[in-house]
Amino acid sequence: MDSELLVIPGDLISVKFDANNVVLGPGVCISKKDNESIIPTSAGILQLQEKKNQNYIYIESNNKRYIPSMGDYVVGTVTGVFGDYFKISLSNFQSSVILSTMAFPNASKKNRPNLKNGDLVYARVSSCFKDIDVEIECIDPTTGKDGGFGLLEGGYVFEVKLGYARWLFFDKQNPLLEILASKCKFEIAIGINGKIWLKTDDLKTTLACSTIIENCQFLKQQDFNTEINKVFKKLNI
Amino acid sequence: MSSGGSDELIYEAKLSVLNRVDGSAQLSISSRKDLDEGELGIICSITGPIESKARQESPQQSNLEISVMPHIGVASTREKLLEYKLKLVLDRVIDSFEYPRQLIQIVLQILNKPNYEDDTTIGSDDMNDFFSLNDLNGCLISTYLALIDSGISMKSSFLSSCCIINSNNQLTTDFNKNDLINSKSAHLIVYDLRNGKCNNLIYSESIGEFDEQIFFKNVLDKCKKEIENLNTKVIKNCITEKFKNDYIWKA
Amino acid sequence: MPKGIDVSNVAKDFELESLKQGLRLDGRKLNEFRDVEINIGNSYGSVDVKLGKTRIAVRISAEIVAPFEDRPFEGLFMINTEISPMASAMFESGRQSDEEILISRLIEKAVRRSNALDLESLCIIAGEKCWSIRADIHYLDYDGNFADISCIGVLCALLHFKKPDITINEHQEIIVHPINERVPVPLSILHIPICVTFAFFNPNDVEENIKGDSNAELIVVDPTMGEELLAYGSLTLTMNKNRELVQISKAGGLSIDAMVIMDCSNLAYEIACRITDQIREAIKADDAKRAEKRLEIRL
Repeated sequence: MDSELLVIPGDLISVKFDANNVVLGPGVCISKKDNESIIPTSAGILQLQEKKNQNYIYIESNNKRYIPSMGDYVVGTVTGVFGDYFKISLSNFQSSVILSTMAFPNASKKNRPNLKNGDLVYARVSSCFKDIDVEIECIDPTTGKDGGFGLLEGGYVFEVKLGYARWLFFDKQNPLLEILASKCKFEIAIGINGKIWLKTDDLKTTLACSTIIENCQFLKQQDFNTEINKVFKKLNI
Repeated sequence: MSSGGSDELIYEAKLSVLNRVDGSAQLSISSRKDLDEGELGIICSITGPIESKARQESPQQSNLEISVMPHIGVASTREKLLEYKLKLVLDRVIDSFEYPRQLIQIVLQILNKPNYEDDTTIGSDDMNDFFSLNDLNGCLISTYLALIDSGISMKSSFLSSCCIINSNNQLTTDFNKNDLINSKSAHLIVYDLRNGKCNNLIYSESIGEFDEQIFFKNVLDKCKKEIENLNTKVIKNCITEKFKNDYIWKA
Repeated sequence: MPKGIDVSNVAKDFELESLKQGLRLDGRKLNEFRDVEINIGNSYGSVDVKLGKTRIAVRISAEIVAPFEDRPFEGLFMINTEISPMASAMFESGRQSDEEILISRLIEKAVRRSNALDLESLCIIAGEKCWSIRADIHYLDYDGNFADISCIGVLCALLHFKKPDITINEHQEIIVHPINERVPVPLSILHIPICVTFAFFNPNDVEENIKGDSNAELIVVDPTMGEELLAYGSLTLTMNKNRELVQISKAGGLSIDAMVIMDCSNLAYEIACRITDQIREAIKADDAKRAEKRLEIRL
């Protein structure tokens, strides 16, 4: 993290960087006036990072509406079953995405995956252009195996804000998940689209864990422990 | 809740007030010197980009659906005109090429109006234009705040200000009914902001008779100052507070 | 499912299982009503109500019109329940959804037809002039149960509203006195109806429900949006503190045992009493605040 600056759309970013190897992320674009300066298009915290000789610049903000982007791991609901693809919904009111029946490990014309309307799947965004339908796949492209993708059965699914979901997903030693893991065993699939699937051995623990994850969005880290104890106590676990 | 303002008006603004939508903001503008005047209270909600109906689809750009709901009664031609004017400004500001074929749904609900608008003792028919201008001002500011909250791509930030030239040839942003009846003209000015300073004029609407020089020198200056003041004292704090709350779990 | 909202089988199954074990997703018991929060505004008849995350704003306005020809001694009262996409994108602007029509009819029966507002008290000159009271309900945030919160909001706003004082001079002309000249007059509210909505869930299959004797149907009070989307039918009872059943509405849906309605009525009565007291408290507190302010200005 090189800098922590709150910007709003239209502000001029006065940071010097080599224009040749800059990768623009979400929330910034090139000004049409001089084709050189970079302006933010949404409000948020400006992030400038340097990794392997590439400069990354983007805006970090905690929104609710998910915009599909390449390589994201997402949790979706099947809304339609067609000849050679499924229609999946990643968030309410938004256009559905396509999951091809061939985008599974060991897929063939005779071996169709058995998904029906309402099923929950964990998938990866494989193709994402603004002008055509977004496509997702349930196969790890590097290994050809399922890689944890596919049908999610049982458990419970709930929604959180996108920035919080990213923090749960990318932070390998996430403090909240670590404390929770010390209290009970659970299986979790975090979607970058803000949907989280959670499963434990019994219903009460599943309800408790999901309530905790939802509520901790509004608490400081120091209050996580008290919240966890409060919820477990209320459900008599 | 962030509040502040100039020596004439008090603004109160809050982001993320609604749960079901992608972005929301609540705004209230009241007079600093006359606290019993009541306030102009507006709440704005934004959902998008979402799937639009086939007939509303635009091949390369996003479509804006704006609804303004009055605090009493059903939406009429008056609200349709407000929606049209809002669309004129928002079409310039929202980066519609970023979300082709999709819909951005904006709903504005006027919750409270200043008390002087209810006073029907003096003919209100002529005053409707003035009231609409004031409403448009509130709608523009609350829409901007809701857009920030929703994270929709914008080409620039914008804010607006409304002022009148009263019978003593003074410019003021704080007016009640008597001021409006005796005033010569009223003006609404929308500027885009760059690093906290007014940059380009986006929209301007005026009612009444006024001198060209006074408009280009005094009115624009007065509104610029009001906008920059609003930005530094209220909007910035509002947005900072939103981000502090959004990332409360990080610390 | 309303257009646009996709609920997965995982969510549906989990919710039903939890209800079978007597647990609701927001931590309430099956017979627990959410906390009601009432905020009274500065103008008369301006009220904001919150029921959990569901939120509405109600505004009352009055004007003088001619009464209906066949009812010369009564005033007019109308309630506007238009839901906009602000509450949730599943409500379309301009078009009346099924939900909207049902709420509109419910409020019509519970508040208008039950004569909660005495229409005869709105008469000014019989056959010529009367007050027309209008209640506009603005739906701001949807988390289930718009019906109950609308009723609470309208009643609270009507109780708070005061119409301008009027005098009729010798030429049969009506003089309306501004509220800063003469103290405005409250409306005549005969009783306070409170709606309580119950949602039904079927833990077994349809055949068991129709033919079986098990009576295992699950009933929850004050459903949230998630519960409303998965419920198979609902019942709305409107009661007042006088233990009167004002209206009952069970439009199709799951068949339930008739005796269950007695239990629901008892629960609805308790809830109605509690909420009526809360409304009266809020109005009293606001009156006290206004009186204090008037005193301050005089001093």
